[in-house]
Amino acid sequence: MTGALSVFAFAQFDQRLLAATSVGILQSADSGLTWTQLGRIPIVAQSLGVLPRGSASALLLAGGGPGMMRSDDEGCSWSVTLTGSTVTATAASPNADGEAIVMAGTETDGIMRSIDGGRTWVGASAGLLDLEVLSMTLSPAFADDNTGFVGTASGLYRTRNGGKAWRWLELPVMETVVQSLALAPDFGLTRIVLAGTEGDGLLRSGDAGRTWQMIDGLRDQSIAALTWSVGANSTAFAATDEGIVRSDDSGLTWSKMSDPDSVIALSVLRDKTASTETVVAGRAAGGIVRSNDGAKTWTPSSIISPADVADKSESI
Amino acid sequence: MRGQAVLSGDDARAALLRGIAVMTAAVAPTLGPTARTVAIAPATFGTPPEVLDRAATITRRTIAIQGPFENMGAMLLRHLVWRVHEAVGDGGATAAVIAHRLIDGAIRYVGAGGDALALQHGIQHAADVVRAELCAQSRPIELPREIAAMIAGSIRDNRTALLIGEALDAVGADGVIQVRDSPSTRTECEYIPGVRWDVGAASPYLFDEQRDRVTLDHPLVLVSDSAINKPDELVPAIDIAIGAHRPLLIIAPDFNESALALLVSNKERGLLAVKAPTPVGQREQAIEEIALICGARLFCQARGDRLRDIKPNDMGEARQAWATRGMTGLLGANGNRAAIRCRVAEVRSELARAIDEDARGKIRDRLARLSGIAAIVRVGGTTKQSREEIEQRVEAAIATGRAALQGGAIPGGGCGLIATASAVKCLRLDGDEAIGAKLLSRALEEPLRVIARNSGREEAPVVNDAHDLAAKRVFDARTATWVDPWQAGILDARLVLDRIIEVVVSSAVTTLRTDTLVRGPAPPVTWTP
Repeated sequence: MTGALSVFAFAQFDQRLLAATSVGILQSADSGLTWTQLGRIPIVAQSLGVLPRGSASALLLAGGGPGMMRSDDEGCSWSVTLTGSTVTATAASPNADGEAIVMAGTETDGIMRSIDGGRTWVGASAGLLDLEVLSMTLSPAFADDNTGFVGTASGLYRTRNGGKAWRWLELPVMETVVQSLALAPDFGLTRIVLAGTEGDGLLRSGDAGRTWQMIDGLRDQSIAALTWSVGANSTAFAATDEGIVRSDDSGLTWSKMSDPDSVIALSVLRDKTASTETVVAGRAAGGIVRSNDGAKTWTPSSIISPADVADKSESI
Repeated sequence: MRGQAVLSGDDARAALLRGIAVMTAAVAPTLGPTARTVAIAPATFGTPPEVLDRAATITRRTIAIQGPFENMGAMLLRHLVWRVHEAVGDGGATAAVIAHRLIDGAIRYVGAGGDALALQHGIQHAADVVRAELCAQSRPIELPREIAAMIAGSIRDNRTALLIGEALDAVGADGVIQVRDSPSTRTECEYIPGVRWDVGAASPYLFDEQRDRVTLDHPLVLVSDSAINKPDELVPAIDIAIGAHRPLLIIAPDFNESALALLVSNKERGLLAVKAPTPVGQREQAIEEIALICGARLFCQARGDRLRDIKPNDMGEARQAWATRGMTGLLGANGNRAAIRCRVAEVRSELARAIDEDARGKIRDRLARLSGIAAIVRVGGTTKQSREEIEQRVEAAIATGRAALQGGAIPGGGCGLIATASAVKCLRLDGDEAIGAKLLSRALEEPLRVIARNSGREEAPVVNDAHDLAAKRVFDARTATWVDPWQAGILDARLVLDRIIEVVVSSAVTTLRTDTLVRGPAPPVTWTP
């Protein structure tokens, strides 16, 4: 049974895929084919963050309900690290000084920032005129460029000082809800940013947010989720009102692929050994589906039913 | 005319030139990355000399030189350096050496029978070409590390340069960056979120006992542009807030005692009264903008608005409001963001038009409130003197960074100026006008000559190479090598050089026109040891 399961966000590290769902954190070690519960977490996680430590280890962060949880043992146990406002977006990366930067975007209090992997926090909302954060992403080259983006209920902001302060970016549509964000894997070179809005379509910048263009063909659409292919730097996927669309030219033009509806989270996982790519989509009350052919066809993942998950979580 | 003396013609101009030379010699050692310092004798006995490395401060401290007519020349240069410093915060030594060379050449030529007016025309034509050429050479500067690379040489600390680069990027070229002392030895940058102004709660009795801060969560906000003198005027607003189960923040220029008494006696219901920011000359705009930021209707006495007619949707909102005795802040104010953006654009053009530095500071404060961000660079140092020295460098670096963000950068170290020579050569001028253009072109070589001299190199070969390389590579005086300016970060802010040329040319023209110097009687000297 997958119908009642809502999937809010994906994250990945070391060939493992994590999903923040309505029944807790799930993980898959087989490119999204099967999913199991990852530890017990007392909040409804809406966002995930991964801070790699070495080659096969990572600090996991889950934001949601009344704050944020962190796990030092890859999800076996979780501890509360931030309480208060609902954490709607989480991002983490080491910086050039070796600090473990974690940022939590909240529903009502802007951005909280930690430099010690989420142990201690300070407010970092300087420059944000809107404290309702909906999406957040950091540059793949964060340690070098200190760049990140935050989508709020009324626009988009950028930091170039590691999240200490934010600057409003002028978009072609004023006061738009920016609910999804994705930076090209080679953002350091191409400076391509995609921003998905609620009802105002998809926006693309080729200069790290300085100027933006609205993508024809997706105007007036809501873009709930965005992700980039891992293997091909110019391929991206977007979840729209009318299903999944795909671009093979770095987000300039898009074509409709298939229509699993109500997709609110997307991720692409590359199997290093088989050199294949799997697109994974999380749906609102519709479970997880996956595609091995570039989003043309989709099959449901084998997910333990919420009831089973709940039973299992009791025993962990 | 008792006690007065007059000097005319070539003698007068020669005296001016001697004074200019003395003052230039005092600041020239401070130019470039291998600059040296200048020690200035104190005004009182028993204190050590002041060791300085900034042209603006050196000229400021040099109150007079020997010789009354020479002193006039020195003061002319002092004024020139200060004008450049006030306009762009940096570039004083560059301006001084260019001005000296230009005035020297022009005075000598006029002394040999040249036409001062034609010379002046030639210099002005050439200046226009040079400024256009600098525009053509310039590239935009955007990233924090680009700003940092550009100012690192003058600030002499890469970490502080990056802090300033990041701060300028965050607040923008027009934003507020305050420079303050830090109790520690380390320089840090702090970002101020939301809206903040340095006037606090209207009464100390609004604080709870033993607390000096009031915080309201999700308050309604009432903004009035006139003092609140009648307590009954506030009752409808208080009723609305109580009905909505929300605290109420009241912002007004002042409150009389009876109004405050009502608020203090009801403070348990979440009432807070704070005074609005009232910058002299911009009071109305500042209050209007606070209302805009909060999404509140401004109750305007001049329009005949009455607080007793207030409706719930006349109130603004914020996520949080706080006040101390001397400060008020708002976080997550709920104004119409599109309207705020329009206002930001209006205030920016107001800033561009403002000439007075005091007015510019107040406009920047308003911009900071509208943009929801300001930065404070807290300068650390081991001694008060070292802290003050770093503070001056930080302020100059901020000014240079602002100029670079606004007008881009050009190859630095004097090489960008030299690269304008070919464009000046193309000017079709005859006779003494052509000489004037040539004199300016030669004068623009002077910064590189001085930089080379200060680094212990022979000047002529360096300048010749600079002409050949046409700013594709620039002279790095630290290593005596030619490097790519954009890679090495050896850059100058175009607007700084533009302003230097404008000021230098206007001073040169003034000096060229001067024919007679009149010295007044010396003032009586008093001295209290």
